Amino acid sequence: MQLVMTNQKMYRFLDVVCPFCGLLCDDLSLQNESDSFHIDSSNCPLSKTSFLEASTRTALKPRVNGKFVTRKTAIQAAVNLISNAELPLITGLMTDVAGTRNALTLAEYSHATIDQYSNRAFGINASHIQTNGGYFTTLSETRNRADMLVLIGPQMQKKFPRLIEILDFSNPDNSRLKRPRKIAVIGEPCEEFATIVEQIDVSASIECDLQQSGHLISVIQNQMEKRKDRAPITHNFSNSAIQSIVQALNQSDYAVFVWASEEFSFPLGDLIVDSIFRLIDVINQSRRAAGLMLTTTPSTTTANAVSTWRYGKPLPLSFRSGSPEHHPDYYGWDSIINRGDTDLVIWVGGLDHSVEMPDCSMQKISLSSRDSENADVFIPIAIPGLDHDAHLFRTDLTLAHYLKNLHMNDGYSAAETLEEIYSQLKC
Amino acid sequence: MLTVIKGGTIYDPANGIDGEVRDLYINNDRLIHCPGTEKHVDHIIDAHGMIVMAGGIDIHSHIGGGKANIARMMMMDNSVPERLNELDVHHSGCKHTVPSTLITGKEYARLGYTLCFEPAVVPSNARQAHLEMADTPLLDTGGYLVLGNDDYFLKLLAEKSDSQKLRDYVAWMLNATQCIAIKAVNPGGISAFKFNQRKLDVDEPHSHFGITPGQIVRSLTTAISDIGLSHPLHTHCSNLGIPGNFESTLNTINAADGKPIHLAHVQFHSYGTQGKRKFSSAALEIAQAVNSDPSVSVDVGHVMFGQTVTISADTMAQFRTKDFASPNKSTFMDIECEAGCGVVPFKYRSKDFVNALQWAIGLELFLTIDNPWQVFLTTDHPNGASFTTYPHLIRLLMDRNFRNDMLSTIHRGAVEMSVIKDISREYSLYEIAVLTRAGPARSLGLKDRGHLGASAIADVVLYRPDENWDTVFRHPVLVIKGGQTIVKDGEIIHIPRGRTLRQRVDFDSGIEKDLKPHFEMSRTTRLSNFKISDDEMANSVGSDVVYY
Ligand SMILES: [Zn+2]
Repeated sequence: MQLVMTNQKMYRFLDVVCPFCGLLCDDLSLQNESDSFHIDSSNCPLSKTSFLEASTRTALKPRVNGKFVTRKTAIQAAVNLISNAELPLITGLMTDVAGTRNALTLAEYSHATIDQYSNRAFGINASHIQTNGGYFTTLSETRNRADMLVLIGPQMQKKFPRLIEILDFSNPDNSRLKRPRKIAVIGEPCEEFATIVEQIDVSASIECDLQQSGHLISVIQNQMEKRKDRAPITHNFSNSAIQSIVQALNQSDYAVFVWASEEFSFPLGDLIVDSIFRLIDVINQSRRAAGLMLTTTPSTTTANAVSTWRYGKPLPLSFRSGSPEHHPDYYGWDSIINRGDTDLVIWVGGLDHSVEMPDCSMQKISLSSRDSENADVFIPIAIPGLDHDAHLFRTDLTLAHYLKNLHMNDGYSAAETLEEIYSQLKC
Repeated sequence: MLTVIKGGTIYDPANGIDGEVRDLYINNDRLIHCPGTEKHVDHIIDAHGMIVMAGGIDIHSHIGGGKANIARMMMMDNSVPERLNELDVHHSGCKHTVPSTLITGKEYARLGYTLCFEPAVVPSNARQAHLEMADTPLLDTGGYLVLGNDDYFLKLLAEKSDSQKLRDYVAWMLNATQCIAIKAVNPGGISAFKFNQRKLDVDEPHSHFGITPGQIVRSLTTAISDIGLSHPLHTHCSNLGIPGNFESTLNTINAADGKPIHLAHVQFHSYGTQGKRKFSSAALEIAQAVNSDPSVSVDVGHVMFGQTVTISADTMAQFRTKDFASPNKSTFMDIECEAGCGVVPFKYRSKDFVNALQWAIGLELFLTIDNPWQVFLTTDHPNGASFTTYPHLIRLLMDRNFRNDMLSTIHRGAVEMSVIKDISREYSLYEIAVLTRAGPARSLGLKDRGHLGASAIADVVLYRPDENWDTVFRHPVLVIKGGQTIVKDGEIIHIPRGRTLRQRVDFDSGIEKDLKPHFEMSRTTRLSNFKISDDEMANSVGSDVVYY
């Protein structure tokens, strides 16, 4: 990020990183006018509204049992709840590296279970890596090399508005490639996507129920392997569309399959990821291909990266036994709440602009940048990158960005707040 | 605070001290000359009968970065959760083929190591590598930046850009990523694999850029010497693991054109094609090349039998081994038009001919390279084995009888093909201190590390002599880091945070004028966001930068 002063009262921030989706676009220009911040470099509706909302937040005050209190009192109340809890659960984790580090330390100290809010979707990819591995690629690699993009679940355009632009697929005649780029689309496109599709060369589009996409991909695989012994039936998929995908894949130098596993959150959704990687494996026997996983919030990739290097395992983790245990179904935050297996829910927000702390009957501590009226203890915290320096991991698991403080609001970070709670708990 | 370590037997090759009884004086975090009798001594450590060396330095060990995390995920089933709350700190984690960061720091410290280098930092992943290493306490760390497969560099080379431009680019990248040395991994080969080339020899052109690995090695070694980096090009040669690859290794040395070059995990690059199985040792050919050229150094990358996981930026080589994966799974990644990553679990078996011969080749290299200053002790953790096998490896080097006993337990065909049984050399303590301390420090230009002279950082290890060298090196009595005792009788008693070591480099910042549009057009990161500052390292990453 670079800061340019345009006159006495106006600032321009250049190369600002947007923390509001997993792509972490880092090319925004921001202008501050009176009390709000405006993006003047991009039309991304998600970052435009998110930056505006964040910059016009009203200041929040700490509360205990609905009454405004000092921050010190609120922290003490949180400490009391944690020291009396038997089965604390830390969730949300809509935070940065520092916030995750301190949340993990608190979890270990208090023998808590810890999970990230949207981790169940990420877990589909994590468990695939655990059991099978896979082929992955990154944003720049796709941007510069992919001549074929297969989008599985094109609803993703809503969550990642600049995806096609960042991958440079809105420009079909990318001069760095030997041939015009192609896109295949599997699933039901959203409206946002349809307008983009009009401008680019879509080699094939198969509108199907996403639940069937795993089967569709297997059909494509069988056709590519020219196997007659397996799944000859193409259901009611359009045979000509399948043929054109197969043909495009057979001609491509580097095919990239893109999906947001969040869209596969139905029973056996993980099998779609399996079938994507099987197809990629087949292609790699003679050509090159890879997968690009999309994760809605950078907090999910961030929290899992930190958890894996610190404890050797991704989230969720339970420290009930004193050392880290990972059983995704059993220790998922929603499973724990649903079966009443916790007496205190500790919500760690920051980037929780679009999600709310789950409404449940347990006692609740909320550290958040948005008001949580139903929490027993509420401590407002700052937004990573907007109010304090922050490290966040991009969706492709490779690149971590350092978001320099834009000084939008004052306030303590999740990391600082968790540190205060932890050090008081220890004494 | 003045501490004296009294009466220990000192092995300090950097200062030519070979087993002399001397006192060592520590003032705060540094060693000092004897301060004279009038100075008040705060603390006396009795080291009579003990072996005293500087803190261990691992010149090549994969302890940080995205591929380690992928390996952790893939090897989760074989992890053992561990608690560590002897102290006020709660630092549990998992023992693993790739341990979690806190356990890595702890296990290294318990072996007397205080400094460790991650040898494959991918530019776009540098921030993660440093974040992970900052979470690895008890160790100071440094990283080698992977170049030579990145589009920008390959393009400069293909366009025959002048050497000044190449030099500035290399120095700029090193500076931006807070690394200490440059690594070339299968030069050009990772990129070629992206263009569907499955093999690339030293003089074979890359199908897209038209340049050869040899050219890449030549230009990088030239850039490094122009910049004035201490550590030579840290080279993972072409054709890793392929029978007959020793010729590529020799050709890579030649490509350096007399400039200094370091060959990483050379065991994996010392294979011939003799014998009925068309797989043989070419350790002697490699050793001869090293012995006849003082500008070449190697680390061995020794293999040990058992389960491990191989992690490498060399996607091309890793893809070739995927059918041998055990358990059967593998992960590959194409990264940011600059590198790759392949993670393949592997089990080395003593009764397998190839694995047994790999084990023997490692020992042959150690035992036939004459000058210990040209060879460093590594297992290429975790690729050949975990670093926790170092004491066992040291015993193999120091104890011929033990080595011969081990020979009788491995595949007999491999024993027949190896010259080990005829080698009587046993390493001395002095030589072990060269391999594990003095040598790495000198190669990396770390003047205050790896030795026990005045003004050195007070990283000191006390070992208790025993007939079994494994026992000696597995259980140091005392490990002191920066003047503070961190391990006493095998117990961690203090957990300091580590620092990041790097070298100061100069470059013409005008290079940014060319780089900026490249970042905007081809990379999905802006140049200003790519750079990691000292301030970011200290305050947010969590590791202060130390310049050499
Ligand atoms: Zn290595």
